[in-house]
Amino acid sequence: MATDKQSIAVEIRNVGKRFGDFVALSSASLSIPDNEFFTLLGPSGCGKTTLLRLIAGFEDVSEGQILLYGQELEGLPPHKRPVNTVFQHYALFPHMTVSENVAFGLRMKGFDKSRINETVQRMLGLVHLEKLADRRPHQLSGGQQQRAALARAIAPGPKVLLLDEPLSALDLKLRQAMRLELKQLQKDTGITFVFVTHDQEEALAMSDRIAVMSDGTIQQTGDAREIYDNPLNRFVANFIGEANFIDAELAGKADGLCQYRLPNGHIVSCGGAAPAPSGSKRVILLRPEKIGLIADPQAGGLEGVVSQAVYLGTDTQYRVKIDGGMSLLVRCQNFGSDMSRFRTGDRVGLRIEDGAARVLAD
Amino acid sequence: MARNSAVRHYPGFLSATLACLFILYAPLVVVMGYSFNASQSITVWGGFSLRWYHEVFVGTESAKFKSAAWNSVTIATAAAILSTSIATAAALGMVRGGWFRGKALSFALLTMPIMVPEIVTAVATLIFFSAIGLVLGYGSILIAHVVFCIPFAFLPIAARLQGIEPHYEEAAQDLYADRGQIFRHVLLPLMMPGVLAGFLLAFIISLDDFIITNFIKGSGVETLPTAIFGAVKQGIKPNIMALSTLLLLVSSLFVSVSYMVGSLGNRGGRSRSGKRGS
Ligand SMILES: Nc1ncnc2c1ncn2[C@@H]1O[C@H](COP(=O)(O)OP(=O)(O)O)[C@@H](O)[C@H]1O
Ligand SMILES: [Mg+2]
Repeated sequence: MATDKQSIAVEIRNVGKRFGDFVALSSASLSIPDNEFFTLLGPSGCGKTTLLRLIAGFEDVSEGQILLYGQELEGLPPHKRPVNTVFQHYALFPHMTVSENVAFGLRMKGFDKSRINETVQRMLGLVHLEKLADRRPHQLSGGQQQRAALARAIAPGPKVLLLDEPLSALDLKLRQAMRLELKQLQKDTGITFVFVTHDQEEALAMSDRIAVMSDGTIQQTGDAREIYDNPLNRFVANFIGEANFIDAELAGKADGLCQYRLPNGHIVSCGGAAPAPSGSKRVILLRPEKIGLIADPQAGGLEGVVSQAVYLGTDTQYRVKIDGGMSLLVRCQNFGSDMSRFRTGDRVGLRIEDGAARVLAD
Repeated sequence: MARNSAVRHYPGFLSATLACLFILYAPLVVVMGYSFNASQSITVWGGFSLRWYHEVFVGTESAKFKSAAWNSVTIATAAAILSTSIATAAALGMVRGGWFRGKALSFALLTMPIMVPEIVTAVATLIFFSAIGLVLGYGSILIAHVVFCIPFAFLPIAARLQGIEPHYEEAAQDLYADRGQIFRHVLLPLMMPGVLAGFLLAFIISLDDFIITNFIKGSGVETLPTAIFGAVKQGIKPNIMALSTLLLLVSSLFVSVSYMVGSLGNRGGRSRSGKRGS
């Protein structure tokens, strides 16, 4: 087998899954390299769990193939696949202690006692549960249960770890702490993580790469920066971060950037443009934090009136009514001075750097 | 809560309750009380004595009672073990087997015997056994008991299994357990309160069955209920009361244990799902 094949941990080729007439997943293709922290991101019901269950073997694909290190998985039952799952609700065995839970996979694999004990100790150390080894799951807090589930899934040394929204049941502070821990754990163990979440912040903070899903299809795959800065379509742009969408018309080209004319006649230079005939209509994306507000508008610049100002601590969010109809969301960082503070009703100029706006493919 | 306690305020609640309790338990109390009677009479109190218990174990009829008790206990044990095993398999099929044609019908057929009048089952079983030429005796009693115990064992086991989320089996499978290992290490321990409750229920049902047993026992083989019935036909002696008291004691012991096992298991389950708070 070719070496480059083997460095791909999970390969998903045109995988589809139907439940009766309902299409839960359609022609999904993904290539997840070894040792990567890969995230499936999408709203509830978009098919993330379904994709994980297909990889784990709990469901059979309706079409397509799933390969693990080049090996076709079709027909292999879950207990013969070298992947482990951290379930959304952990599914810790209630009749076993924490260490018995962690030992379970090792016992089923037929390891000898001393090796099991040694591994269990190491795993409990890894997730800081040594002191709670003899507790039952119902005697643990949510965060502790989460770590026990993690230790149980990692103990048998899977090649790929599947995590189904493992942090969603935790409160905010704990969730943020666990993000870092999980990321570190992935680095330390070198196991390929396929992580599922509906929380875009979580995805951006943890992932090497992200696949954004909606309605059973993968919309875009890329690292956090690509997905955020260069979203392919409206769904991705909207799901990750905040967005202004403006209908615009291609007016020409300059310095390798496309010039788009906004409905009010103003011209902006956009990056990420696909070549298109002059006059063609597109949607352009303007991130709120990429727009600057200035107190004294320059001639020929965009101008408008602040219609709403919401103070959010580190920054302030404005809604600005632009002359000529449209309304834009703007987010400004709150610096030390009060210079950048505007109030409702203030007349402001908007500064948009060349290339800050992106053209969407559709 | 308020609505539950409100029932107390209905007129006649107390007297109705007391009347029911009296009718239910007064005869039992009389039987238990007179089993300690020193005199031969079943109506006149002659002081406290254990003579009738002594009589049960060493008296003239003791050999008959002992063999009947032995039959009852061994049949009840074997019937409980066999029916519980079959009921466990049936519950797994019904609850975890997914959808299959005739599932609702299967469920009805499994549990309906509980609602069929026992005398009908008894007559039918007798006719069936003679039709196939089965020799009536210990074996025929055992077969009949296994069969009519199955629905009683099935209900608590199926109820318990329904309460176990399939996540645990998937987790076990994810951790390299095959079907047998999933059953042994995960499903069976989680089902155990239901299985035990089913076993104890089957044991009790078998132990105190009279009607069916009386029809199909053949001659010469007795269980405790049929032996007691036989003895009573020749006149009630206080030793019957002693024997009945003993039987009552064993029954209530089993029912209590069954109840405690059941509620213990449920409590564990509830606190678990409560903690997860999903
Ligand atoms: N076993 C099933 N039978 C029928 N529909 C299912 C089944 N499993 C999932 N679905 C449907 O597939 C869709 C995707 O589900 P899921 O993968 O769980 O979404 P997510 O994990 O992204 O929230 C949902 O609409 C769900 O109702
Ligand atoms: Mg899900």
